Amino acid sequence: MKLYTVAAKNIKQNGLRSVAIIVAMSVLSGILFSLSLIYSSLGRSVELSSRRLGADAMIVPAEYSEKTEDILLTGRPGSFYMKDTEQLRAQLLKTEGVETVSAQLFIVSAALACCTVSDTMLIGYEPETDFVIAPWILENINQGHVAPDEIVVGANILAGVGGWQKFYGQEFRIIGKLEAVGMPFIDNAVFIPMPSARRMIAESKDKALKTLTISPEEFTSLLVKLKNDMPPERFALRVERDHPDKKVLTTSSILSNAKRSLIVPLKGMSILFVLQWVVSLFLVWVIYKISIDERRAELGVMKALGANKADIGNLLLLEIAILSGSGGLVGILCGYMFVNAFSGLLMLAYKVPFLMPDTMRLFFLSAGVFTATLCSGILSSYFTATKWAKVEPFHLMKGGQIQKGVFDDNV
Amino acid sequence: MTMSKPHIMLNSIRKNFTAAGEIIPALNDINLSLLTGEFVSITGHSGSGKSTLLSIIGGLLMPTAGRISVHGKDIYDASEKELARYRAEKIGFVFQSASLLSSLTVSENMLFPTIFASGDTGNQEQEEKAHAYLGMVGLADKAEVYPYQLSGGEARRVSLARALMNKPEILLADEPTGDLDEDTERVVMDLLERFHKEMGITFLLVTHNEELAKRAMRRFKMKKGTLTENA
Repeated sequence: MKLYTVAAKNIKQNGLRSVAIIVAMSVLSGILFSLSLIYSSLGRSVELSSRRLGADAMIVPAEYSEKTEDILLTGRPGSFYMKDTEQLRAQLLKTEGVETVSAQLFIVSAALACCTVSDTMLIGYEPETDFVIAPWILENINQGHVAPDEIVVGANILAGVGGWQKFYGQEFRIIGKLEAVGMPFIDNAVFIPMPSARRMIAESKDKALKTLTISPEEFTSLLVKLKNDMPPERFALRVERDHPDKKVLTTSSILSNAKRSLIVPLKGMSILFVLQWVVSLFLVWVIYKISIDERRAELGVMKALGANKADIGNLLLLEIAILSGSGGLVGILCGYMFVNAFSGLLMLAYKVPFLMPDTMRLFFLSAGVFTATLCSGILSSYFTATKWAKVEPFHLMKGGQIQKGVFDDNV
Repeated sequence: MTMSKPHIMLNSIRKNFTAAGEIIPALNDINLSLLTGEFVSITGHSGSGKSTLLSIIGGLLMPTAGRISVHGKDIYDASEKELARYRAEKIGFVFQSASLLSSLTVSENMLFPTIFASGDTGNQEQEEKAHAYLGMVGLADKAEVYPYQLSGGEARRVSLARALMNKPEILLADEPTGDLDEDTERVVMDLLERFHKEMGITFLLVTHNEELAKRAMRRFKMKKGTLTENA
């Protein structure tokens, strides 16, 4: 027999106390894990989304700036077009601080037989000038040239590489799948080379039930890559001054504003969490203290049978460690399930990109929360455990009989 | 059985408790010598100090003053760990109440003291020994039950069997038959005497029952913290 067997049996016998402590600790770890997970996911997805959006600035018609932000942040498919794109592109390329300009075209797939999946954002990009998808293809697919019927899809598109998708009657082969970034606009999108997108539009009249009426000179937005010495905000001011009907969205500010909108309530929740932490630990301390007080006589018997104070301390701390650890694991599991279940709502409510951390980060996050919960549980009971461990067996065994205030007089 | 050498020596043992600032003397200048293998009884009224004395001998309570030596060595000069080891290996306790650990089965209760004595516990040999002792007290069939499923007499017999698990040199019994009926009382006392004789254990019995005390080789009486030997 080992001490941990005794600890396990004590836990089993004191079922109600054990459940109460496990629940208190699981609430504590569940909230800590959920908050940590949200913070971590938010930071990671904002970073990845910024990288994937690639452009320093995005120029759209002024009246569609809010809609663009909505499309980018919620992933709700939408489209709008501006006509004077080529003229604007030419002017932008002459503007100080501009490195590259590339146009994009947003088309929403239809809920008809012409399209494999409906309500999906089809994004036409220019292979020659694009600085987001084209370089990715070059780097990841080891292929300089993209055939007219080849597309790249976001991580949430169900079909895999090599699969075929049909949009407005045109068949496309998937040659690459982007890694998830937690931003539905990217994760749910299909990237089609501009010439293929134009052909799809032109032939939609014959091949699809729904005809796309987008003229060849129309684009949705112009993506601008700036030189390092040009701050996006300065560039935006200049463009908006020269073109009042246009709005310049700087992708970093869109994402950081979105992140900020969630960080504020999260900070409020964190303060509540600290209070809840204190209350939980107090609760665990009270439950455990009452439980140990009731077991004083039994601890005395253990000492009489040969347990020293370290054995008693270890036994009591082992019990609380098992209970805290179990509560910690339950809380982590519940926290993960909660965040996983409600991350979609969170994204919609706060318009933030959200991507669960990768396995390694999730492991470290769980390990950190588990350790914090375990240490908190042990700390809350440490003084009670060590206090009774030091008491002489005689006094422990007399437990209930000896009045408070009766102590040895070891002169 | 050898009874030549002094096994336990108590010199001028005094014990005071304090309650609400007032000093309450429990033991006054106790001197006692027990020989190896001797059976000694102490009687006295409730609160006379006999359980306190037993606890001091058993290493459960440090005296306020005086010296208690076992085989010539003062047990309270030892470290806390050594004192715990002394309790585990040298002493077998049979308490006033059954004192079984409620979360453990009877066989687990039997094995519990071995955790602290041998360091290598739960092995086959220990389990066999536990089973054998349970057989000796007539409870082999109760090995897997929990203490609450035992009668008072059965619990006391388990407690007695457990006291023998680490082959103690000294058996300290504090009212081992208290609250038991006469038949059970006789069974428990017979077992205690049998183990004392067969194992050569030094046996100190504390009881308020004069009839039981008469079974001892020497009898003492405790009154208001003072110990006197009966003629």
